[in-house]
Amino acid sequence: MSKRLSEGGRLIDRERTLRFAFDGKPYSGFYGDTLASALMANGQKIIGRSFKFHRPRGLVASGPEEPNALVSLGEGPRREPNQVATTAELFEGLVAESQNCWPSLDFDVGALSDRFSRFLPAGFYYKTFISPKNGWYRLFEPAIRRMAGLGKPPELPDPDCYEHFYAHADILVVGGGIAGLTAARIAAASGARVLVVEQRPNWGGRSVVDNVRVDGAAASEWVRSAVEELEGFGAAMRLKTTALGAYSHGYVLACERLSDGSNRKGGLRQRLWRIRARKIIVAAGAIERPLVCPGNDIPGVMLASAIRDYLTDYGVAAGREIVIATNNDDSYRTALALSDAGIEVPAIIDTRPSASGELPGLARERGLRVIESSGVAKIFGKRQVRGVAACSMGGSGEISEKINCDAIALSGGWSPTVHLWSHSGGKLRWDDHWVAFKPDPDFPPLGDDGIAVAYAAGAANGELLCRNIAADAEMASKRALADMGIDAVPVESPAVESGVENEAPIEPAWLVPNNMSCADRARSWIDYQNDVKVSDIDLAALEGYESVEHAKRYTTLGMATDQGKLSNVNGLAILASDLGTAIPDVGTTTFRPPYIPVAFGAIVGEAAGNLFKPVRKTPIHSWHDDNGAIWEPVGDWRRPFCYLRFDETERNAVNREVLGTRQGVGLLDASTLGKILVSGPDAGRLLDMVYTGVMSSLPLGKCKYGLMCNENGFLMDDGVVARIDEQTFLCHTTTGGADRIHAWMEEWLQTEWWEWRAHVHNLTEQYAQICVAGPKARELLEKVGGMDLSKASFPFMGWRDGRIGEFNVRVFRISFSGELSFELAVRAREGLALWETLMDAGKEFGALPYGTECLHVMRAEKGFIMIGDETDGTVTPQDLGLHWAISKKKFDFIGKRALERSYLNGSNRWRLVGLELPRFKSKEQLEDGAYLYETSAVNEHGHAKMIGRVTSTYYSPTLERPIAMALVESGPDRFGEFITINSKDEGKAIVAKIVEPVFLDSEGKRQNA
Amino acid sequence: MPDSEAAVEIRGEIVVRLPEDYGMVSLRCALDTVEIEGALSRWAGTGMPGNGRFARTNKGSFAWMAPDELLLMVPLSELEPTLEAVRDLGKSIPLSAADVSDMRVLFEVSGTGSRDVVAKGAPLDLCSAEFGPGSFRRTRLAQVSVMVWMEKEPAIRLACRRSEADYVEEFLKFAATRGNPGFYS
Repeated sequence: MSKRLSEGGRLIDRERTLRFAFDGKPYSGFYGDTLASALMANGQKIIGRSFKFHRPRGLVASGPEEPNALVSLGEGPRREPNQVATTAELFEGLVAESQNCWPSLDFDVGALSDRFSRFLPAGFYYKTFISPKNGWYRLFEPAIRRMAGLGKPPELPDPDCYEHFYAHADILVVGGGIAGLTAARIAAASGARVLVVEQRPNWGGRSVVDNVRVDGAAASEWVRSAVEELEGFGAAMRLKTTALGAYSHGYVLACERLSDGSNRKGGLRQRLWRIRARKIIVAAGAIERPLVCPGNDIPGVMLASAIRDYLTDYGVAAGREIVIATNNDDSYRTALALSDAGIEVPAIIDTRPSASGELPGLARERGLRVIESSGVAKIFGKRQVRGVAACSMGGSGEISEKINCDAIALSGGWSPTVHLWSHSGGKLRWDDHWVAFKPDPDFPPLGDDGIAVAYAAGAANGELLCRNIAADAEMASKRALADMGIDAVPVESPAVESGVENEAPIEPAWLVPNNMSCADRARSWIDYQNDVKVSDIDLAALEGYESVEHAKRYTTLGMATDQGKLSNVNGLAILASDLGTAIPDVGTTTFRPPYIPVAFGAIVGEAAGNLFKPVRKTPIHSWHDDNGAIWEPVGDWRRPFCYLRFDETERNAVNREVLGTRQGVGLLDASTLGKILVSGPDAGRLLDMVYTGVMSSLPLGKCKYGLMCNENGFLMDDGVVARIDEQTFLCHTTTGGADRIHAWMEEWLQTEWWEWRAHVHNLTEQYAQICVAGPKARELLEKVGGMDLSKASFPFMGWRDGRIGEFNVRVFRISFSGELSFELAVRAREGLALWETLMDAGKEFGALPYGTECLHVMRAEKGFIMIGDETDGTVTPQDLGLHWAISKKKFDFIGKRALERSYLNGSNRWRLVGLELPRFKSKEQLEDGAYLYETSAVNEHGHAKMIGRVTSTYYSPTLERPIAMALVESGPDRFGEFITINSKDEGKAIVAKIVEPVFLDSEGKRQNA
Repeated sequence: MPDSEAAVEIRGEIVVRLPEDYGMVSLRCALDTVEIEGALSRWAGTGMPGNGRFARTNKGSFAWMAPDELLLMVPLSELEPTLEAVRDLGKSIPLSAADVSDMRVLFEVSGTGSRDVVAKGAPLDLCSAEFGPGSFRRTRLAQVSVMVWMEKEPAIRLACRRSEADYVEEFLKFAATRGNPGFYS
């Protein structure tokens, strides 16, 4: 039974008791505890259930590598599933719940699957659920998901705040142990800008746990002074900040935990650091591996180092009698620490033929029993360890002796934490001495200059002896500095003493015992969280999964939330032995970010609520908002779709706006239209190339409608061009086209026609633009007064600079509604005032604001096309009957060559027509995008032939019937024909008449008024 | 539209939407041509700024926007004469100018933590060696494009598109009132 000792625990404050709840039961711990240490102190052995077989599981590790102790933390909207108890800091009132068990953690029905585990080997999903045909989706997948799900996601929005922060550094040091601090110290002293991140809440790494002495004093002393010194140099030091991933060119993401639920600093929970470092020093330490032996997943079986951590950091003993099973010297430190704390260590089972190093010697001096050449035949107990049976390491598991114990410390050696090194392309090399993969200094991740961007230091570099760690870190730091051209100043590296002169080498022990029986192979776990056992790897190898990446996916090894931090090396070593190849030949699976799971909130950062997405607002936006605007997103803009009065419907509002404008006068906020100024001696030449028509001959004071094609001859934008002066044109684009067309012109000027003397300015936001349309438009503007707007002096398609009331305006006499229409451009800051002036003056004329839907209805009544409705990137100007806007005289324009392709010229292309519906179906609109088809002929599948589609469809209040535009095969050749159109009601087709796509005032009397 | 003077002060960082008393003129010309750069410099009385800088001259502040683009910032009262003068200058050198005074809205973030506030949205290196008085950057703030510059320590000025000003204001207030990264201050 685990318990809190009466003394010890360097991280806890026994004066400050914290209360918390686990699965509804009250517990208490101390300030400084993690949830894991507090649960352990309370004797809680089972903390979770495994993913596949629902086996009871307890703590294995003491850090983020923990595979078993996953809990849901928090309640309601703050509940976060799959949190690792070993990194969750305890706070007053913490609420945690176990996962993946029903009805309770102690009694889980799902554990029945463990009984049938021999029927559920690796890949059983693929083999078993093949029939019936729809069984997977309807039957098996839902059932498996119910069984296998991890924690449940919260159902309410996250109430907490997150932010991003962009940081730059010369050197980013990941890891605040002796290696990291040593490297950082040299870099900072040499004048580099240094940022150090450490995932734990305290500095020092393992050294402070393992009684290491630095420069003759306790490691913690040196750590404290090194941190102070670094702060003095101006280095940025961040605790509780985990580097998640290293990406190209020194870009690193790190997540800082600011508040844990008890104290929300400034309302922020986490901060995502987006770091651009010139060099990265990876000093992330190493992670211990368990031994693979039968029953190694029973609660109470832990990593040797974790048992030491809980003892030293939190004063918690993992059990009363703890047996050690190991293949290396380091784990003897656990035995010594336990024995110092008065905890019984009945035996140390060492797989090596001879444990004769200094550390085993010290253990023997204390009277501890070392059993050499031995392995673990069996671990007794179901819900917790009751004892262990030793066996000969060379045998197949014949029990030689039974030993009583309630916890077992396993150590299979250490794996350097190479994740960050590998994320951005660093290669690994197998180290026979330490039996581990470590960074290969010949193949580091490279920066944009082709020089190393990351350097591994200390244990993360495979330097596992603490007395060598400082020297290794010093070398890494100096190399990084040299590669940056910074001279390293001499800083004395600390002398680190572990208390022993030598450690005997580790000996590989991938299976304990070596010739494990078949039955035992099915009971020896490699990946705890995903329940991958030796037998699963065997099966994968047997079935031909030779690549480690394939074997991983087949068995799900390393695919759980812990990403195989404990299991990967054991798994691939066993695969190598199954395949009869060497471990380096099998290689590792790919390390991918993030290093630990990261909350979506941190990734989202501030981009939630009002900051989710920027909304572009015109200068008149607030007026629309105050006057009933129903908003429509147009690109990033919001434009009024229509303005609701009282309780009218949107449709009624649109009808009212159309009729009001057609009969009186309406105002439209047209500020979003693109306004691109092109000027210079070659401005006309440029426009002649980007438009299909001739612009260079446009007289001063005149406007012209123009089309733009892309290189493939497809229509991409349209708008009115105004000739401002000899060398200057103002090009109007669609709302969505403003930035795109500006970039388009810039690109041609910069890359193809760089010698042309023309410049482009995007003035879209410089002006507010107001369209005043309707038979009373002139009257309204004349009432405000200031300029001559008479037909004689200011004809259609002209523009004038002048004054309207108090405002300097540029007035364009252009019309997209078919009405007498003036568009007034005014400096943006005066837009709202001008709008209000016009609305005010318009009262007596019944002036009303109209929205985009009214604009659409009016343009459709006139048969005007809309980019994005009538065009979709495959439509040419000719398809839309716009031949007249294409110059036949010009030598060239963008798209000209493409338009000459035969298949863009055929008369059987889908071409623009109008559709007229019978008047008696006066409210029935066609659906946008509905297909037009021929009823006479069907293909071999019985499908009718599609010959067109509806591109615009509206109810026309002016004509009191629905109207539509469509692209139809050989369209204009079919005028007068009737055609069938499908509708949402299956089987119910609509018949419409194909007509000219102009429904109103085809002579243009109204706009020319 | 929010109050133009609305300020929010937490921890000493202040975010202010500046009054619209500035004029801006966009100048496009081949700055990398010696004659043109020379003519502009003679006209302005001092050399034109290089990449990442702005320069105060007796004609206003010139900011480097692109290899062929400058932004001239003047008090609003100087706008008309400036436009006039620029048009005159355009007769002697190939240059095109446009009044862009209404295109952008300006903000100022002041206080010792100004850099920490801006760095929550802009991927810039804002340390004083890289970014100080005279520095000018075109970058982004979270999801929108902005210009960022410093006239006087430690206040940072930002300009965004007029249509996106509400977003920028909301972002800056969020950034100034939440946690303090304490990286630059």
